[in-house]
Amino acid sequence: MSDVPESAGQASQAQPPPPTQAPVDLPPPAAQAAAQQQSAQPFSAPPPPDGPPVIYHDKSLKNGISKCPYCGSSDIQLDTGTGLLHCNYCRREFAEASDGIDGDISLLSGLHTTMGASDIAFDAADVVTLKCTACGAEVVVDTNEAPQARCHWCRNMLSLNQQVPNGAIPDALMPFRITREQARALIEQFVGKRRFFAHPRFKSEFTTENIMGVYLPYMVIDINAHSEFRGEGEHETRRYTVGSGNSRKTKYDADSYAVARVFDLYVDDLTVEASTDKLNQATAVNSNNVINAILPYPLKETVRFNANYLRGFTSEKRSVNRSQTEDLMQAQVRDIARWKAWQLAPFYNRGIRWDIQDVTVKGELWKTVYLPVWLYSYLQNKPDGSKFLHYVAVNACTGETMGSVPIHKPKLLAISAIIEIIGIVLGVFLAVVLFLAT
Amino acid sequence: MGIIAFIYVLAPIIADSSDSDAAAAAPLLLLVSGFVFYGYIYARYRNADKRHSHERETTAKTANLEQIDTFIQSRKGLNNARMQGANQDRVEGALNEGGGEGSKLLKEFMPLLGQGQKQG
Repeated sequence: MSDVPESAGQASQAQPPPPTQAPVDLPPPAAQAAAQQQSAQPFSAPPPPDGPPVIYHDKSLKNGISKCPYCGSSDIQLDTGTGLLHCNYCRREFAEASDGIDGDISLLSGLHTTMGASDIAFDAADVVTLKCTACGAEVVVDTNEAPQARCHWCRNMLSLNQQVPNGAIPDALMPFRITREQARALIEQFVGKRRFFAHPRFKSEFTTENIMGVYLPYMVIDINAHSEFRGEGEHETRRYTVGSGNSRKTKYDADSYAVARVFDLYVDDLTVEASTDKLNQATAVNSNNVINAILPYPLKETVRFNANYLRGFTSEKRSVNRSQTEDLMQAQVRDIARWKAWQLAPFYNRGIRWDIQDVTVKGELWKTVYLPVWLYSYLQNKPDGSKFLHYVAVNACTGETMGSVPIHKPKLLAISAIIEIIGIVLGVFLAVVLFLAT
Repeated sequence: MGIIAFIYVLAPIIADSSDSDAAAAAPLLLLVSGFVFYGYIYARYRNADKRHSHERETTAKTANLEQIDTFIQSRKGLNNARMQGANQDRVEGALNEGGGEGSKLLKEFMPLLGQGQKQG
């Protein structure tokens, strides 16, 4: 189960006696509901999820010691089997609150960004110093490594939970739900179906023992848009064959219509990569597209960022600002609108030629999230001296798997050539038979 | 495995064609079978054409719909099954380039065989 270096047992032995202070008080559900209603318009916190107890914070999570609500221990990590936080001291499990950044998209007007989606200060320091709230020591957290560090004096775990200017802390995250063992099985199954033409060196070196659990940064955007599509559509009325023998042809009759679809469009949680590396999906030089292909995630189940979820996993810092992905967002909203317009005009079974495609974004809300991926990577050294990094990626919530497997080209070319020769012989034979038959 | 993949590629093409089209397309298919097989295997291993289908998989709702459908004319004896200039399924916001050498090869052949390769 555990994906972290320390086992629960080891952590318990190293942990100081449980703190004497009372656990964090959880407000009753009625109080939570009242608090949510107060900030209901236009965006409000959704009701807490059913099931495990939820840590509800009236204010943002603080930097410093993040304690178990039951026993006060700071030795907390994610249980990938349940997607819940697990206290290594009292062994109880609980969830962080929903990120609470949601609402009625039809009321969205203008540009809104959360703290986590605000522009990165690229000259901001990666190292942040936190003051331990238990013993007062100054503890250095290197955000390039992890948003947590253990106090070297009192051994409490200190977490960086509030946004910092270098883009290291998103608003929300989706916990891992697929375990390492499940991910290994999915990757082995994926590669197992592609072994015959796989490169022999890859086959000999392939192992899933070193797969990495990674949180990757994404921009998640709600959009209120108005769409206007006008053009011409065709509906097939008749399909028939003319001519005879080899000159037979299929012909079509169709009715042509002037078509317009004008509608409001509410896009919920459009997801785009927030890292310059992963935005580069030039498939001739990388296989980043397979990480893109395992989207989407169940984004209604994200939780407020809590550094304890990252313990034992790696994470990639956000490296792009909203303005750098604005054009991509606009293009994808037009795609969604065009798709919806098509769905709203099923009568035109020969297609529609839209001459006017006008999509106006009236309101947009940007937030940042970490999404969990199990990643197998293989660096292929090609004969020309170039290198190519192949990924097999598993969506750590849904289990959707996609990847790139290096090919043994000589073998593929040889078998393709054999098939081509057989095909030419059969093709010529068949053409002669057909010619003689007519 | 190769034969299965070959049949996998060819079977739906022939199945979707009318009898006369299938008969005419069969020799052509056989003449390019090695190229099609190479493209299919390359695409299956490399998956360069795969991407998140944001246009279909993103949750989106429509409201306040206004629609116009005005008859213009009837057209007879058209040669193509798809309307000329149709762009209702165009995608602008895909980040991948749509494939390496294998899937590009496959894409070049599929329209010739009457099969458009869809992304996603």
